[in-house]
Parts: sequence; C-alpha cells; structure tokens
Amino acid sequence: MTTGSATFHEPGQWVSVWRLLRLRLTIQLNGFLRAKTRVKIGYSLATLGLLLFLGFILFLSVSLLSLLRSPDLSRYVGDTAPFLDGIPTTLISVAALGILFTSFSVLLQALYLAGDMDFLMSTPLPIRSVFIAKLVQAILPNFGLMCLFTLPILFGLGISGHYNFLYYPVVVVVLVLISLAAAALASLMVMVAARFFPARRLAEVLGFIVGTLFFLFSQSARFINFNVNEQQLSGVLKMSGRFNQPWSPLAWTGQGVIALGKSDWGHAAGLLTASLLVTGLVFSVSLWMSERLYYTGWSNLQNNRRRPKAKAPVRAEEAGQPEKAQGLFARMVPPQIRAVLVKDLLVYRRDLRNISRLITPLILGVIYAINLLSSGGRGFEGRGEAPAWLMNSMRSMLTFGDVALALFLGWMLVANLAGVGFSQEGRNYWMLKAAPISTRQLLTAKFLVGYLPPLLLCAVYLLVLQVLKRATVFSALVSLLAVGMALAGLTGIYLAFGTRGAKFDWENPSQSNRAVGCLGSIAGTLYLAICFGLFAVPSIVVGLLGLPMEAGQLAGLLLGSIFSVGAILIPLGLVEKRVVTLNEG
Amino acid sequence: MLNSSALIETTDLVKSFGDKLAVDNVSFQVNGGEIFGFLGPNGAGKTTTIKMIVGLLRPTSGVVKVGGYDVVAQPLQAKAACGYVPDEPNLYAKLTGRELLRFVGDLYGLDRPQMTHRSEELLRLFGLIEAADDTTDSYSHGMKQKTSLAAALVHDPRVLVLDEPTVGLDPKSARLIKDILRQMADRGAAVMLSTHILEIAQNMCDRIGIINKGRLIAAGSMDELRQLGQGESSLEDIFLSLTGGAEDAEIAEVLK
Repeated sequence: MTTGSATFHEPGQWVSVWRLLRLRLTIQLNGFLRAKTRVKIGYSLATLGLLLFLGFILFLSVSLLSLLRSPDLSRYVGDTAPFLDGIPTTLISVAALGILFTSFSVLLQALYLAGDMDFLMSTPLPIRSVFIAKLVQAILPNFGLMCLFTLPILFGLGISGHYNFLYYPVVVVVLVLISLAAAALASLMVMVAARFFPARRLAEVLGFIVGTLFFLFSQSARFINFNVNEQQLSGVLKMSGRFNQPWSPLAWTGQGVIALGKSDWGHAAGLLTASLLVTGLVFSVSLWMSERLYYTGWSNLQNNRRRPKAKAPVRAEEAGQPEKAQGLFARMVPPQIRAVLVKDLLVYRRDLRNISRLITPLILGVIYAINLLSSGGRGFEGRGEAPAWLMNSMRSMLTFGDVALALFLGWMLVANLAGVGFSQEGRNYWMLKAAPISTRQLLTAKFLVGYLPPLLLCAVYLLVLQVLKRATVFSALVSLLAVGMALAGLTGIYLAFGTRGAKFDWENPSQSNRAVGCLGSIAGTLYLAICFGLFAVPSIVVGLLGLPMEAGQLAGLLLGSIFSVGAILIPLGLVEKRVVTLNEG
Repeated sequence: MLNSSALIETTDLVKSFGDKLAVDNVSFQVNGGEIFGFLGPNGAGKTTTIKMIVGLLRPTSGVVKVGGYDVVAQPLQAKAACGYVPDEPNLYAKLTGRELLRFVGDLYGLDRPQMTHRSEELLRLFGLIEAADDTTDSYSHGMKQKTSLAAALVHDPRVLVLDEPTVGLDPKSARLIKDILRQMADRGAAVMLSTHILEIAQNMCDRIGIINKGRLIAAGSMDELRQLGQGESSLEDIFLSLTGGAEDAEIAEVLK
C-alpha cells in the first residue's frame, strides 16, 4: 500500500485560530450534550439566572446613574459629572489590571501544565495562531465574569446619559481588545517567570497566595466598619479620578468612549485611535516576544538550579559508631513507623496545597480568639452579684469555652490530615504496600501523622489563650489534656473513615479530600459534641452542687478520656482488615 | 554464590476481577541465581501476576511464595526478601532522591549507617548523586526509573521483581541495569522481569515464561522454547507463534 502525499495548503493565521477555538467549542458542546438530563437542566437554569442577573444589574445601573445625574442630588454632593465621566476609565482600568493578573495563572496552566502545547506546536499551524487561541481560551472565563459587572454599568451609563448608539458596540470592542492586550502582556510575564521557577511550583505558590489572600479578605470583613460618613463617601467618589491620568492609554480609551457617546467626534476619533494604537502595539510586541521566548526555549531553560550544597559533616552514627547519639524518638519508635511519619510530614511541609489547608483553620482560630479576647481576656465574670454556684459554673464554662475553640481549630486540622491519611498516598501507595510494614504499624504511623501536628498547634493556641486569660496552671493543664484526648479520638474516627473510603487513583489532589465522606464528617462532629459534653458537664454539675470546681474538671477529664480512647480503638479496629486489601481494585 | 532453591514459587495462581479471569492457574518457579523473563501480549496478565508476587494484590486462589515465605500468610517476611520495580515509576514527588532512599531503607528496617552507605552507593552508581537533593518531581522519566530501581535495591533483596524495567531509559542506563541484574543473579538472587523487548529477554534471561490470556502457555530455557515453537528459532517468532500474533505481523506487512 502506498501513501499518497496530497499537496498541503498552509492555513491562514485566523483560520487556524478559528480551528483551535472550534475544537474547544466542540469539547464544551460535547460535554453539555452528553451530560445527564439534570445537569443540562441545571446549565439551562443557570444561564437563565445569569441573564436575569444581567438585566437586574442593568436596571440597577440605569436607576442609580439616573439618580446621580439628577440636579437635586448635585445640590447636596456637588457636581457629579466628573465622577460619571470617569466611570468608563475606572472600569476599563480595573478590567485591564484584573485580566492581567488573573490571566497569569490561567496562561501558566494553558502554556506549561495543560500538556497540549507540544502537540499543537508540532501540527502544521502557525505558532502565532496557537498562542492567540491560547490567549483567547485563557481570558474567556475571566472576561465573561468581568463583562457581567462592567457591561451593565457601562450600558447603564449610556442609557442614563442618552449617549450616541455607536457608544455601545465600541465599548464592547475596546473591552475585548484591551483584555487581549492585557493577556498578551500576562503571557510575557509567564515566560519570564517560567524562566526562573518551575511552572508547577509557580502554580502551587500562586494558588497558595491567592487562596490565602482571598480567605483573609473574606474574613477581614468582620473588622470593617460599614458606617461611612459623608466625607468618606465623597473621598470614595473622588478616588475614581485617580485612574483618569492624562498619560494613561486606558484613560484615553475611557475619555474616548465618553466623547463618542456625547457625539464629540473629533475628540473621540483622536483619543480612541491613540488608545487602540497603543493597545495594538502592546498586544503585538508582547505576543511576538512570548512566541520567541517559548519557541527558542529561553523560557524553558530554567537557571534556578540549586547550587551544590556543601557536604554535611558525616554524623557519628553514619560513620559506623554506636547509635547512642540517636535521639530518644528514633529509639522508641520502630523504623517503619518513623519512616512513614517523617515522609508524610516532609511531603506535607513541601506541598503548598497542604499548607494552605492548614493555614485556613489557623486564620479562623486567630480571628475567633480575637473575638473571644476582645472583651478583656477574662470573659463574662460579671460584677460578682450572682450566686456563688452560678459564678463557679460560668467559670467552668469559660475554661471549656477555650477548649471548644481549640477543638474547633483541631477539628479542621484533623479532618485535613487524618481523613486523607491513606488517600494522599495516591499512586505512590505501592511503595508502602510492597514494603514489610504491618497493618498496625501503618495505622499507627498514619494516626501519628494526623494527630501530632494538630495536637501541637492546638496546644500552643490553647496555652496562648490561657496565658492571655491569666488562667490557673491547673485549669491550663486540664484544658490541655482535654483537647489532647478529644483530638486523639477524633483522629481515630477520621482515620478510620478515611481508610474505608480511601482513593488512590486521583489526578487532582482535591479528589483525595473526599475519602472521609458525609457519614465520617457527621460521626466526627457528633463525637466531638458528645466528648465536649462529657468534659464540660461534670464541672457545671459540681458548680451547682457547690463542690470544688477542680473535682468537676477532673471527673470530666476522666469521662471524656474514656470516651476518647474508645473512639480511637473501636473504629481503627474495625478497619484494620480493610487496610490489608487497600488499592486492590 | 549460587542458590539453586526456588525463591519465587507460584502454584495454581488464580486472580479474577468479578467475572473476568485475569490470571488462570499459573504455576512456575524462579530459582536463586536465575533471571526469569516474563513475556506476554498486552493484557495477558503479566502485571497482575507480578503484583500478586510482590504482595500488591491478594490472589483469588493458589499460593505464592517469595524467599520461601507465603505472601498471604507471612506477608512481612516475604516482602522483606523482595525488591520491586513497577512499570510506572510513581515516586513521592516532594521527597528528594536521597530522602526517598532513606525512607525505603527505614521501611525495610536498615540501620542508619548501613542505610546511608547503601543509598549513597546506589545514588552514585545510577548517576543520581548530582540530583540527590532535588525533589523527584523535577526528575525526568529515566531518572525516576533509576531512582525506583535504586529504591528496590537499597535493602539488597534476595528476590528482585521488575515490571518493564528498561522503558524510558537511555542505552547507557539500560546497559547498567542489565549488568546489575546479571550481577545480582550471579550472587544468588532470583530476578524476575517482564518486558516487551524480546531481545533483552533472549540475551539476558536464563529461562522465559510466556503468558497469554491469563494462562502460562510456555516456560523454559530458549532451547526448550524452540522445541515448543514448531521450528522457529528466534524468540520473536516463537512468541508470535505461541501467542497467535502472526496474523498481526501479516497486517503490518500489508501496511508497508
């Protein structure tokens, strides 16, 4: 059989871009058409909801902007025209900056981590069309999100100001072009960043920073004062003027569309032409440079290789001397358990996704601690007019209020560590499975991995709270033991449920988090509530009977500890046999 | 030192996944001092058999013994005697090569000086010493494969089981691995390897087993296989005639 070599016609650049985008469109369409009916209905309802939302924002914008244009309002807050004319500049500037920063991580993913670049570059398509298609794909989701808020406001501005009809399509065109230029600039930044740092690591760090900042901002709302006075409002309105700088091409665009809306043709033509020329130049130069840097391999040639480390002095035990220098830990813990413990803690420390999961509870813990201590650190002791038994009971409650807070923190930490104990091994589990480590040793190691870091963090957290509250040593000790025991039981429950639902064939690490399941989460929460009750109730009862508070705390500690030990041994005993057959399909 | 006793022994080994019979009554032995090649078409049951030998899969029925220990009844002793190199070198991405070898050494209960000495020796032997302090997610496929082999050798096993060990390796590394396997066999270890590269099997292996559709259809030395192969002389022809792959060769000829 002979292979006929048909004449190859080189496709045009934009035809190639369309082919690549059509491929993406086909994939999306296939996803929709082959989805289950309820998913299709969900998508349709979401689209309808989105359109309604757009209409609502448009209505709101028209109403608000009409109000801002009213002469009655101007009498109170001054001339609003500069603010209104500055809206397009502000929105376009925010959109350009937003696309620039959000495209960075998306482009990093699309160019380095998606894994299809080699295939696309090897096809007979112009390289530029591959890059343009990647840029369009990268900005589409964020551009859509941006349009959801900016277009109704800009259109509302046009409707309320009775602008020229050309204003509307031009606004859309400039938003598209500026977004493309910002994305091209972002791709150049990606090339430079990938030159110095491995793409995967860069994505991890970015994910960690963005996730943490987002969480911090969302929680910081608790401390924001929403009582804005007249001066502050006026200041906010003036702030938009900061984007309106004469040297900024983004301001030229904003002023250009306003001039167009007001049919000031001369100004509109000059400003828009100038801004579009700069936009086109930024887009072309950034794209050309990105292509070059990628194709020549400059951006792949990382120059961040570690310098050779100075050879560490050979340690005594490594030099063949007796192992007396080894720590107590090494001698007490069997090597197999130690190996898994050290390995897991190293992996956790180095994977920023894990650190992110640990930092979120810590941020919450600190915020709640501030809330608790903001009353002066000594809680609600009153003026001492209440009966003694009530005061004693309240003091007991306060002691265990700290415990509750520490347990809340520990609960989130344990869920993230113990619950994924086995699943986080992923495809590497074969190493443990093929090694001579017994089921009990493996469960013990995973238990320690899930237990020790939360215990340490919660102990420090609790001690800080106790010191700030100036609690007694006895109270601090009881609280510490209570938290230690409660967390041990919780670790046992989460580890058992995590073992039962362990998944090893995940591609995305977030899939490993589902091992505990709904039932496990309910069991863990229920256990914690009962355990807390067992620790706290005897103290309250003792307070009611007028007996020494310490007796109640000790009784609670004993009851809670017995329950916790049961929660460690029973669930883990039940899943012991399951460990033997883990990952056997 | 040659050891002629069976270090890998499977008897009537069966593995089924639901209705699907993946391994069907497979029985063979690999003696100390011997390299045993395990061949078969894709999906024939090679990896399933290997996984049962190294304790990753529990057999549905039958017996597997490694180093004289029943893998199901005495799993820890059997695993301690065995080193395993999987077909996909999945390693802990956030551990460095050196840390990984120490981790494996700890799992096999080696003492610190022995482990340090052994891991440094293996890192040097496989040319990984420069990258020993880099995390394995920065390694190439070949480097991961070599790290995986180094991890299997850390505890100096009496039995070594390798699933496609030369895939993705450069010729120098592939040669190094062949030399190591031969040295291990010469020192009395039992080496079992599965491969699709028939030349490797023909040149390296003392005995070869061919599995097809879950059944061991032939096992023996090259001379013994030639007698089964209806006069075919090369391992490729014997393999194709035994596994029914000759038709595929004809199709390939048509496409030329």
